[in-house]
Amino acid sequence: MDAGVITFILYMILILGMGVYFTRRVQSYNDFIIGGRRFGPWVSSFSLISSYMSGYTYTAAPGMGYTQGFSSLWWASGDAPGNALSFGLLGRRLRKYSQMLDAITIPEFYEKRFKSPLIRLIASLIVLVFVGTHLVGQWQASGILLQVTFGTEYFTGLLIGGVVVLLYTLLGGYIAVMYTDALQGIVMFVGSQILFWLGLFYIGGFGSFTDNLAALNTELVTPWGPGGQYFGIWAVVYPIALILMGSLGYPHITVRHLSLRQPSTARKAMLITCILVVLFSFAYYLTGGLALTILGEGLEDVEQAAVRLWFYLLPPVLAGILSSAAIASIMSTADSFLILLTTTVAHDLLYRFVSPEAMEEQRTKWARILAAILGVVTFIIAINPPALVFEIVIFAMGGMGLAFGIPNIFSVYWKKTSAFGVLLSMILTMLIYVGGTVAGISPLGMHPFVAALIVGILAIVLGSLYTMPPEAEEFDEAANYLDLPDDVVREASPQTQFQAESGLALLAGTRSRHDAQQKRSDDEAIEPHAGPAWVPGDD
Amino acid sequence: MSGLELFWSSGTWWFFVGQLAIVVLVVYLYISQGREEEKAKEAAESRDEK
Repeated sequence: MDAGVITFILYMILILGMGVYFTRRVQSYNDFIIGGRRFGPWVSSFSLISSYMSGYTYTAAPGMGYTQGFSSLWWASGDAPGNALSFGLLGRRLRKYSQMLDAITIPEFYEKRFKSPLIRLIASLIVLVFVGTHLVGQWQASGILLQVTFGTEYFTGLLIGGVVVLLYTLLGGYIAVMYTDALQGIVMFVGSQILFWLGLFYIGGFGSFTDNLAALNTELVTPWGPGGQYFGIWAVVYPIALILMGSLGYPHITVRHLSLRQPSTARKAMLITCILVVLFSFAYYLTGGLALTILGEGLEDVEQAAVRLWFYLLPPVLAGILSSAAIASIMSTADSFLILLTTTVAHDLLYRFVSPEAMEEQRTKWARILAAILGVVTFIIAINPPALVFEIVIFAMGGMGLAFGIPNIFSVYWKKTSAFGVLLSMILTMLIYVGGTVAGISPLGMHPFVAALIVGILAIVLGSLYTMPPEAEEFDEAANYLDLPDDVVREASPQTQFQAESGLALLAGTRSRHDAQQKRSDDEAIEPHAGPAWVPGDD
Repeated sequence: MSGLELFWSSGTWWFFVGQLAIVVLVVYLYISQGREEEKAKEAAESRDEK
């Protein structure tokens, strides 16, 4: 048997073994859905990167580098700020607020933040449509990659990727997803760096790379690309804004904020993610350019550029490792989508709207059954894929970036954001983006995504100003706890602990302000404090 | 004109400078958020001591 195939099989066994191992760690419904909010900065960073990068990394991105040269870096420019700020600006607050509101999914967070079940329902339906679409793209990429790397039939490739992901996701739930994703993130990162630096070394360095590229077409070395396709402000704004908003809106990315060990974990994760993504994203786009200069023009399927390059440059064992890295990129995204779809249907739709009295054990069982059904349904659609991987991924990314990116930012930074504003923004952005993309309309020369983004921001601001904001005082109170790490609260005096807890309870609506004050009086009677009451965040 | 000269003259190098600027911004945020956490921690500790 080929050494590359053996390497790949061993890698699959390792991933499945991890799924089986983490089955023991799933002791509750909360563990299956959110992993019990236990993950540190390294696991969170690598798992976010691997889930974010997806099958796009080894297929579509090098394909763009192959056809567009350096100008494809417009698409890479939003990756690092998007992912890093997603942790640093959004994750920190989202983690704290979601804990305060006892929310374990983004639609649940919206419902509790804005006191609107309708927002939860609409957000859940949007997740189903776009995440389902994106999952089809991942299965498809798995079929293509295995077809190219090991010469399997497209369907066999689909089957291998699908069965492995389904098994470990069903067994280990979110915990297995996080740890396998972290491992796959490391494999992907190392793989991308090996391929890029080896390719650069092979061609004779950066100067030789640019010379070879310019010899084929001088526009490949310019920022505006072949045919001047990135000329003009809107042509440049679109890729950067789409990637940026996608990073801030992708529910399978933002759910990683909810599962951070504590809010301050986001700060470390931000730095790690930023450095890794800068190295990662430029490497995989430019690998396409390297494939063009090394392999030459005329590649039948440009999305195979990276795969062709590593089989050209590397011995079978290393090519097998890189193939595993490529499949890892797909599996790590597919499992995150699968667990997200499952959570949405089980927790946000069935448990919330159909059977709220269901016991925890019953809900975990539902979640596992639904994961199997959703996996199989999307798998069947992928047998006859509706479009290219690139088209599917970009369409789904845009939809989720608009539907969730705008409400995510406003919900944690602007206390006047109201349910009406969020609903108006979600509905208008979906109408403009989906309608404009399907009909091929570009309002005022803008891509429908950019037009929808502008309208969405205006809608959430004007809609919120027009209506009453939800309990702004509690929002302020909650915000004061953001800078205090959980371990400090745990080790603090009973008074500080109580004040932090009462703030959480007030925002969650589980205890009235009167009750909270009453309890504080009782506690002070037991353990009096000489100084004035501590005001959270008072520094 | 060589590829490298074209790289510099056409402004393609700005892609790389942009990424460097992002790293600097993130390091700044990392330090400033660390200071905020430290202040909140000190405030909590000083209240507890009283």
